[in-house]
Amino acid sequence: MKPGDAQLLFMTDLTSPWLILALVVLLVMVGLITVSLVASSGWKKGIVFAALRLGSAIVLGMVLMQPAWVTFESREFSLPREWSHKTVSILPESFVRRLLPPWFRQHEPPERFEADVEVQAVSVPPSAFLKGECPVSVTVANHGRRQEGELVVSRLTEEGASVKFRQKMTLQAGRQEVRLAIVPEDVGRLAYSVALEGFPEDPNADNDVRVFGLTVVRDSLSILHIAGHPSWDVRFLREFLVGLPAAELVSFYLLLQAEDFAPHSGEELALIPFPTDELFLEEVGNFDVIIFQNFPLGTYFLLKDTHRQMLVRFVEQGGALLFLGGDEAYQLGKVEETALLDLLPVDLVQGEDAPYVAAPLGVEAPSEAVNHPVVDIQGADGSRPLEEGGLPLLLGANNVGSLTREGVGLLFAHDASSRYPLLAVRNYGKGRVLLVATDSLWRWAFPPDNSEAAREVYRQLMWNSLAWLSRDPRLDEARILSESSLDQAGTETLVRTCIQSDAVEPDKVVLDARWMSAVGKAGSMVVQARPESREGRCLKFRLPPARVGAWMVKALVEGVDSPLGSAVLALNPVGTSGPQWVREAIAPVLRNPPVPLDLDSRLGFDLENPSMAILVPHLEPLGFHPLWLAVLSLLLLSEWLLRRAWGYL
Amino acid sequence: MAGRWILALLLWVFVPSWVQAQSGSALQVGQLQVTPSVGSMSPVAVGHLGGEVERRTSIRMDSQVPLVPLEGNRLALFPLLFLPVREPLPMLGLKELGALSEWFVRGGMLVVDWQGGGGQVEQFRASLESWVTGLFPGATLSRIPRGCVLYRSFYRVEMATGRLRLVDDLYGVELDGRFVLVVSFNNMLATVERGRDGAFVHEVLPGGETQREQSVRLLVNLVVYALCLDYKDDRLHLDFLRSRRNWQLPGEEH
Repeated sequence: MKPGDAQLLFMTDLTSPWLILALVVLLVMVGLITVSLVASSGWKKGIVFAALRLGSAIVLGMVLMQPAWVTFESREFSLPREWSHKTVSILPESFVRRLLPPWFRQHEPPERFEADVEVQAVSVPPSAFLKGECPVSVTVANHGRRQEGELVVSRLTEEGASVKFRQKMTLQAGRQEVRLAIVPEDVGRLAYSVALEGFPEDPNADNDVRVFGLTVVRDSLSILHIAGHPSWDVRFLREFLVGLPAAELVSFYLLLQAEDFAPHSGEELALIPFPTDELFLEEVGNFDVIIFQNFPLGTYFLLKDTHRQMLVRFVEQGGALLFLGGDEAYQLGKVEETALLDLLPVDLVQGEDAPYVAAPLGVEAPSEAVNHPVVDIQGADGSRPLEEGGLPLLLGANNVGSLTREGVGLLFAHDASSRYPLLAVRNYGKGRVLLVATDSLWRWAFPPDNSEAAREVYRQLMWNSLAWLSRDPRLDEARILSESSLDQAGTETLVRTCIQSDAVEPDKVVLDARWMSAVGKAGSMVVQARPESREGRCLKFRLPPARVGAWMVKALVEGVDSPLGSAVLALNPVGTSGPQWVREAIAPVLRNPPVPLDLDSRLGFDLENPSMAILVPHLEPLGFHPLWLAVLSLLLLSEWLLRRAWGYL
Repeated sequence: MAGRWILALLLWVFVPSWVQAQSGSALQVGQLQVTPSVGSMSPVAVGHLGGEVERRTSIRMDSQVPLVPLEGNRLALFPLLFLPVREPLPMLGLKELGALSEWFVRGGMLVVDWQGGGGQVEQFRASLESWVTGLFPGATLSRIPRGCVLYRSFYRVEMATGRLRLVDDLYGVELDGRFVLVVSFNNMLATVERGRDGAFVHEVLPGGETQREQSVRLLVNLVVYALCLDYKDDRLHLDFLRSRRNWQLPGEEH
């Protein structure tokens, strides 16, 4: 039935025994009268009289069957939050009173829902900060009287559910919202559960728990920024870094070099020694990202091989390095002669070209890299400036050779004859490395044509780079989603995994899934799934049924430890809640032609907020229309006139 | 491949010569030309300042110092501009005010150096305040405290000097924690200007060569500040200077 459709309906149930009996009586009466009329008036006149009586009987039958002209209007009902319905009348009350029995009476709900308490929903922000309070809003419903119990929040791990805290609570009758805060202790995708425990009258434990996932990012980023020479690139990067709300920045810029003229004593300078031992041997582990900007990492006289080895170990253990170019970076620094070469995404073999190309250069993003999270930049108007071009020209770039086998080139600088890797990334151990082979990105931060788009590209590129380097889960290279909006325990879970970067071959991606129980210390289940099907760069996986808990899912390239992305897929109890039962009961009724619906008055369940959509019928009853009286009068008058004409009166 | 050749051709035809000339690592500063008469003197002094900065610090300076007219879009190519003036500043039209104001907001820094002597300094100051009112609604031209990072971004400098000592302080306007406009009343740029023989052109009064060195150091500080902003305000640096060198900033007490 569609809104706006019109149709003729009979409001009296055509299968009603009362109606059938009435129609049978009418037909029998018409039959007896016909026989009587034929016997008394002859065959022809008898048939005419019988036809007139039959017409009168049909008119009476139509009145009994209550024909109505019905049109439907789709209406969205906003329901008040505390609304507890007792009766749902689809037809106006005035019509209901005129209807003949039987009308539809909904069965009583199962008794086990009458004092049920349940966790209906959990709402959390898109992401939370490490060791910061994350607000959680829990919607609970008490379908019985006021009762007391506990709200328990647990973290789901491979060892089972670990209780984080318990909170005593008193549940009033009806639905209510409970606000609490959890403090995540790790970065990444975490799974939590909220459960109601110890409510004495609760007859149904199936719906007392709700599982949810939380994406936790660092509360702050500790950044060490080392620059070989002050430059516009240094200045605009510093302005960006200082403006980051959650960055702890330590900076060292080499303002003086041994060969600089010095008409001054050291005391007259505001300079301090570059504490290489403290930074690279003692404090290195306290930084999340270390930025080397146009810094002669290979030849700087204070830097020893032990310092460079520590940097390699720093990355192996999960740290991140960001290299920014300039005339002293890379090749002039002879980095290729140090252990650092192993972790770079480029080989630093330059060929015949000059190591630093001082010429205006354009930038291009290869099509296979445009979806990588570092360069996935979209303008406010939906444009993609890195792909479409139009950014200010760079003033120069380092020729850093070719990409290594592990390196992924995301941007390239080019002039008429050459193409140079401009932005390249790679994973190394547990850490990440990002290399930028120019010192004129500032041209995008301070564009010559005052282009806001270029400034936004600069900001987004820098933010994406830092987020990717620090493994911010929001910048995963694979996006993993469940196919259904609500995964249910006990059913298979279909998982869709889309690979963002074209540098990864989707056919080599597998899904590593670990089920974690929401209750107690049940052991975990580990599944490695291979794709069932592929659509473009998206793969579909199927996970087996599991009990209430969560799937911790990681997308991996076969043989590589570092995941492309991860997700938590919550498995919640199959719908056994009171409101769901009511909704399911109402649904078939609403799909039928207008039948009065009277729900049992003992039903105290709230319908799901905020709205309910139904097709509202508009009835134009035809049963008591004056037309029928006119037709009946005409039939009776016709019979009287014929009887008079034929001499029976 | 054909596309690249077309791009190369376009680059050579349309890219300004200054872009073709400079390297990304070298710092190029310009001299603002407000009108054909104001700011239009030869930028040789700014060029000599570049030489001093390059000799004394690790900063690479581009030897070319172009005159940058207020009109047109070249303003947005230079994050740091100098404006030497010898007469009160002219009133700016709305278009010029808008362009300059936007340049400041996006990251530009202007150093105004008064070279007109003591006779017209008050008129110059009044014209400058008129600029400030138009460029930064609600802001005023204020004395820059001696403890500000501008006085210690590279050298530790006690006060503002120049070829003359008319006003011992720098004045400026701060926007979002950054000085966008810095004003000297002492003709600082004259202290770095050299003749063909390499000797300084202008005599420095009354302090002679000591005063010249102080002026040059403050100019170097201004360039370093433009590049490093408040880097020298980082706690780690200040703590070291206070604890190891017994530094005490103006306004601080033991």
